[in-house]
Formats: sequence, C-alpha cells, structure tokens
Amino acid sequence: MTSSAFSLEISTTVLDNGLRVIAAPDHSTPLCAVAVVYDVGFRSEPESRTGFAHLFEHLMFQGSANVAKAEHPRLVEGAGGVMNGHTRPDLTSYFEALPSNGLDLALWLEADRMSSLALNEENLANQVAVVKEEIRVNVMNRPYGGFPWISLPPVAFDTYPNAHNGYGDFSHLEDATLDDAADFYRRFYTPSNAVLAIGGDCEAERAFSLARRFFGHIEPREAPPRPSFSEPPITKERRATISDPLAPTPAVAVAYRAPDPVKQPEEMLAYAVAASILADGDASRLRKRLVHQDRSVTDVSCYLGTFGDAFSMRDPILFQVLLFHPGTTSTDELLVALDDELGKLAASGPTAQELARAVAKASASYWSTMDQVLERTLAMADAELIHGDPSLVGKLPGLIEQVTAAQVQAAAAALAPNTRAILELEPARQ
Amino acid sequence: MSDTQIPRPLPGEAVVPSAPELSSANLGSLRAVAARRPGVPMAHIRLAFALRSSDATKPQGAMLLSESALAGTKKMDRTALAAAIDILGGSLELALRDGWLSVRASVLSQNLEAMAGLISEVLQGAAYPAKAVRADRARLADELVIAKSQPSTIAKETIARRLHGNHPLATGLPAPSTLSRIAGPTLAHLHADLLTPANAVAVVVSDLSPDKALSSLGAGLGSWCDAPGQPVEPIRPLPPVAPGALVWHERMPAVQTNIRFGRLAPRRSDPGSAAASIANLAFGGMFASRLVDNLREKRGYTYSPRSEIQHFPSGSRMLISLDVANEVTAASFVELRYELGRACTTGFGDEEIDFAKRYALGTFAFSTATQAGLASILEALSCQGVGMEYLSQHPRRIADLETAEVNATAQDLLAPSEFAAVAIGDPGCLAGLEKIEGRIALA
Repeated sequence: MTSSAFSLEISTTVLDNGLRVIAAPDHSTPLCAVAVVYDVGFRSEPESRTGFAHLFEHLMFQGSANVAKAEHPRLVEGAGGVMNGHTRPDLTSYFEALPSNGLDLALWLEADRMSSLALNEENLANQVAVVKEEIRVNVMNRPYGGFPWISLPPVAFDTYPNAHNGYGDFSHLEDATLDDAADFYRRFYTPSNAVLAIGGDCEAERAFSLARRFFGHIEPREAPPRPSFSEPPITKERRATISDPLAPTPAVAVAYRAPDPVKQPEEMLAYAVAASILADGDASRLRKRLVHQDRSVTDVSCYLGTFGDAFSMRDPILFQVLLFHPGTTSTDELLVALDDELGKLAASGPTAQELARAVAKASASYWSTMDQVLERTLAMADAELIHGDPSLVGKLPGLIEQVTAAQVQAAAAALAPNTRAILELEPARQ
Repeated sequence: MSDTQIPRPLPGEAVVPSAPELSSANLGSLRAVAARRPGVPMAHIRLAFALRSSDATKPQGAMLLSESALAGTKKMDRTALAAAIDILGGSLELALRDGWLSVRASVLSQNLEAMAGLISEVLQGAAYPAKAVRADRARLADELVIAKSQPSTIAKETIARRLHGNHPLATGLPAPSTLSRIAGPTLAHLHADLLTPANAVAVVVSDLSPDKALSSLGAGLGSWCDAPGQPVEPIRPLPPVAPGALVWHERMPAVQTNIRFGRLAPRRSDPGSAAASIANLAFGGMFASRLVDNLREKRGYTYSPRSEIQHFPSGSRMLISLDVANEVTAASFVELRYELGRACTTGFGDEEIDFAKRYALGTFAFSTATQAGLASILEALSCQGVGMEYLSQHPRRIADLETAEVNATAQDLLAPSEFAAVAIGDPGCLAGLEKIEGRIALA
C-alpha cells in the first residue's frame, strides 16, 4: 500500500428533527457529492400501487415550494454538476455530484423537496407517461428485459413486498393520484426516515453546519414503523418458465436464499466470496466448467441482492446464478453441472489461492469505488440507512479477508436444490 | 410545512479544471504517456492499437482475437493466466473499439510492473490454441446473436450505415456465420500485424509519479517494446453525409420506435469544436436542454432523449437518439425537427449557454478526476491524434466562449436539413409518419 492511499474519514451527527448526517471529507479535487437516501423502496409500496415508489422518485424532480418544475436539474447542471435518483427494494436515493462551490445549492435543493414537495395533475400525468416509456425501453421493447430482477422474485418469494414487480403495472401507474403521492410523502419522506451524506471537498464541521442551516428547520415527523419483510426460506425446489418473444436464445436464473445482510453480515460475505470463486473471471469454477470446458453456456454470473447490491438491502435477499446459453444443453443438464460444482466446493472448500484471489479482487473493487466521490458517498449513505454504520464501507475489504474456507464451504453446502427457485426464459421460436 | 425562507445559494464562479501531472516517453518503439492521480493505490493501463480499413470492415477477426488472445500462451493456459491476473487485484481485457483495438488493464499499483509483465506475456506469447479458438468462435457467435437482437444495437448500426455508407465506421457487428472460417493461424497473423509496439500508444494512470509509472510499465512490458513491426495505414477520414429521405428499418414486434438523427461534427482539433460541444449540450446533451424539456418533461413521449458528439480516429459526428412510444412516433418527429429548427434559426439565450458551459467544465472535471476516467480520455485523445495539451486547452476554450459564437455554430450544426435520419420499429407507424416526413425509404 502506498503512503498516498486515500482513507475514508467519516463523521456523523443527528439533527434535532432526526435527520442523520454523514460527512467524509477529501480535498484531493474541488468536487463533492450529496446523497439523500430515504428508508422506503418498492417493498413498501401498497398492493394496488405497484411501481409507486419509483414513480414517486420521478415526482421528486417536479418541483417544490421554492423550486419550479425543471428547475432542479437546470440549477444543478448549471452549477457544473449531475443529478439523478434510483429506487431499490429497501431505499430511494437522490444525489448530486458537482464542483464543491455548488454544495450549498445542492443541499438547499434537497432540503426544499424534503420540506415541501409541490405537485400538480399535469406533472403527475407527465411523469406517468415518462415512466411508461422507461419501462418500454428497459423491459417491453428489448430481449431479456427485466430478466431476472422482475421475473424471478415471484418464483422465489411468496409475499407481496418481495415478489411483486417494482417497476409496476401500467394500470397501477395510471391509477396513481395526487392524494396517493401526498400520503406517501407524508409517511416516508420525513427527516427522521432519511440519511444525508456529504462527500468530497468539504470539512466535516462545515458539512454539519450547512446541514443544520438548510435541513434543521424541517418539521420533525415520526418515521413510519418499518415492518419486517422476512419470509421463511423455501424447502422444495420451485420452477417456472417465461416466454420472451424478443430473445434469440434461452437463459436460466437460479435463486437461493442468502443470509440476512444486517444480522449476519459475516455469513453473507462468505456467500459473496463463494460467488467470486464460482463465477468471477476465467479462473472461476463455473466459468471454467460451463463456458470453457463443457461449452454449454455463453455466460455465467453469480451475484447477491436484486441488483448486486446486497449491502443496500435488508432480509430477505437472494444469491443468484444467471446462465445464458445457446439451447444445446437442457436446463436439467446445466443444473446437474451447477450442482456438481457446488458439491465440490461444499465437500473440499476453496483453495488458499482461491481465497487470496477473491480478497485481491475485493480490494481492487473497493478502491475503484473509493476513487469516485459519488459512488463512495452513496455507499456510506446506504450503509448508515441499512446497517446504522457508514464506516462499514471501509471495513469491507478487511471483513472479506477474514472469511474462512470453512465459511465458504458452508455457504456452498447451503446452496442446495431443495432451497432454490429456478426461472427458465424461453426464446422466440426461430 | 415550514415557513422558513432560506434564499437560494448561488454557486461560485465556474472552476476551470486543472490538467494532471503528465509525462511521456518512448519505451523502445512504443509511445507512452503517464498521468498521476493521487488517492487510491490503483493503476490503469491502456494500450491502443490502430486498425486498418480491412480490420474494421471485417471486424470478426479482431473480435475473435480479442477473445482468444487470453486463451493461453506458450507458458500459461487460460486458467493460469486468469489466476495470475486475479491475484494481483487485476483485470485484463481486449476490446474492439470504433477504429482501434484496446488492451485495458487495471491493477493494485504496487503490482503495476507484474501486470505489465502479464500483458507482455500475452502480446508475445498468445498461442491461439486450436481447440480454444473453436470454442471461443462458437461462444462469440452466440454472443453476437444476442447483441444483434437488442434494439439499441440495431439502431446504432442502422444510423451508422445511413451516415457513412461504405466507410469502415458504418460496419456493424459481424454476422455470426462470418466467424466460421477463422482459425488460430489467421488470428496469429492478425496479431503479428496489429499488436506491435510501433502500432500502439500506451497510457498509464496511477497514484505513482508519471516517471515511476512509465519505468514500471517499460520494465514489465520488457522486450516486447523492441519487437519488430510498423504502424498500419490508418482508416480514411469519414466522407460527407448526404441528408435525404428518412430510412425506416422494420423490427417486429416493437412497442417503441427508435429514432436516430445524425450528421458529421467538428473534430476535437477543429477550431469550432468547443462551440459545437456547447451547442450540442444546450440542444440535447444535458437534462436541462431543449430536447429533454420538450419531448420528455413537457410531452412525456420518451424516457431518455439525448444528443451527443462522438469522436473517432476517422472523424466526428453528432447523434440524436430517442426511443418513443409507437403512437407518438410522428408527433416526435414534428417536435424534434421543430427544436432543431428553432435552435438553428433563433439560437440559445445567454443563460442556456452559460449553464451549458458550466456543465461542460464540471463534467470534464469529474471525468478526469478518477484514474479510470482519465485513462479512457487519454486513450481516446491518443487514438484521435489529439495532443495532451487538450486537457488544459479545452476547458479554457469552453470558458472563453461567447453566446454569439455558439449560436453562429448552432446555425449550421443544428440545421434540420443537414441531418440524416433513421427509425426502427413497427411499420404500422409509417402511415402517420409519411404525412410528416414525406417519402420514407425502407431499409
């Protein structure tokens, strides 16, 4: 490690209204990032309003008491920055990355929409239309659209919060009203249900003083009770098939339940190491076997969490194996090969070399996140929101290093056929 | 709701990003440039190899080479090579770009020399074993089938053919069947022709001093730097674009129409380049732009409409992209042509230009702030024959632009009659579209 190495120095405070604030200064460039993360995602949206958490994210850009429609992006970009938001199963993030002399402006904009969102029918209808186009682009008009993040959960889970489509049904989106939005905002968009993270070129003390100045006056409201979304693991293998008229070749997604990321982070990391050993790079076991030896699949990947973001999720989460293949081998034969490799890992464990490679890769991936002020600011905000510990981000490489061969072996053993859900994607008839 | 009124803070003066610490050297026949980005202990290496016209018009060779170069060397098989890369905290890939072949690696910076050693092992020792090449060929064919089914790929290839005719840049992904005749010896020949130090530019960005990074790179690449070879004949410049009737490409089933407009644009080295980049941003290159305001935020026709200026070794082009619901296809053409016409005839206001300039400066600072981002920019500049002084000159040119200068550029750059257009989707949209666009050619 060179002496110039960046180190993540995190300070935290809580405002009187309950807003948790994190600062992580770094003055190597005159740039900064702001993340505001709310403790609500698509697991929390009402049953008759699938897709509402994401639609609401769009509405947050439509104006607030002192910000007209279209003004938020215009002001951030006009200060030399970028902005966006994303909706995940357990959280919704809003963020700006901009030159540090625009930091006050970014905080003012975030505070204004946390304090007093302004909506009207026209803007709601406009964003319903925009979200429908987003779903057409990303799901309906492309091969493998929404595979497997939309199509796998209903096979792997039984309860509405975990199983439903987070992008939403068109009919639900069209039914959304201003009252729904006001309700959702009142319940979930309170300072005590949010985390504000400020990263980059700003001292912690100044960050906290700006947070108090812009967010301190926002009326405190009680954070909503957060139900558990846990459900018992499945005990019998499940299988479903979807047909994709746009896809030229088949694919298979296999999902196993992984440990609770909050209560059992060490166990969960053993699954992450197993994923790396199984499918990251040409020396990994499944790539070697399925791609290069059997030549039965075109691509294989293993990942934890809906979008590979296990540390930004609460229980339950999935360990997923994704296989794209030309259809020359049956799904059953692919599963036999998968089980064979999992069985070997469970029986003999990983080699010391394999563990060392997983550690080196995790370290490189950690540094790549640390090199990007926005990425590391978002990661800290998520870690505070989900784990109550923003410094977890910096501890990850060390925690990965502590994962033992026995833990990886146990993880592989737990990936058993009776605990999995299998989704086959059938292509269009050629 | 709170009554507290805190006035909106104004951002400070636009910050003109400063250029990084750079150093360049010839390592044997290899031209190399290094930059320092302190902070994280990583190094990013890029080796860019120029392509001949024939390599670009028959890309199947270079594509398969990119897969099979890592299939093993005389000393190491594929698995051993991958394991050796992994243990360094590294990654290594070859990728065919538009106009060059790129070797891209990242590694913990303490292992820079070792990583360069593995790259050298591949460059000098790639064995193209017959069995592995056959397997890679089959897999690449499968991947091509999937890639070619994506509407974004179809749209990219359709507009490129429409814009550039038979120029190599118009070549799309190869048909899977074209791979069948390529075997190991062909790849070994192609490798010997292209992957030589004289035909390459190397870039390394790390937390190390540029001189230290260059010496580690040179030490790792070793004798490869003195390997024989010649620079290849570069791909010819892009020919002029002939605007004309809209070309319709049928794709069924489709719930959206993919609309693409394109034209040539000033090269990075042209005097009008900075003004063109700002005109493009104000038109559709940022969220707060005419295109997004109208077609997304006012009308809800599309999710992510955008315009961009793309630079290649053989030239530069402006591309406007939007994917719209079938039923608003004709209406989207009306609005898009209206916005082009309006920007071309009456230009942009001072605030629009000022904001676009600040956006350009800010995002340039961000894209050069990370090691990987800076490495990609240095690689692209090298391939386009643009000197590294661009890193300091470009932001200053942006900062100095006047509204009148940008609007003068917009009059030509955004003239609707200068664009060629294609649309991909359900031909059921054609009847309505013909009323707006007149004659439509079918692809």
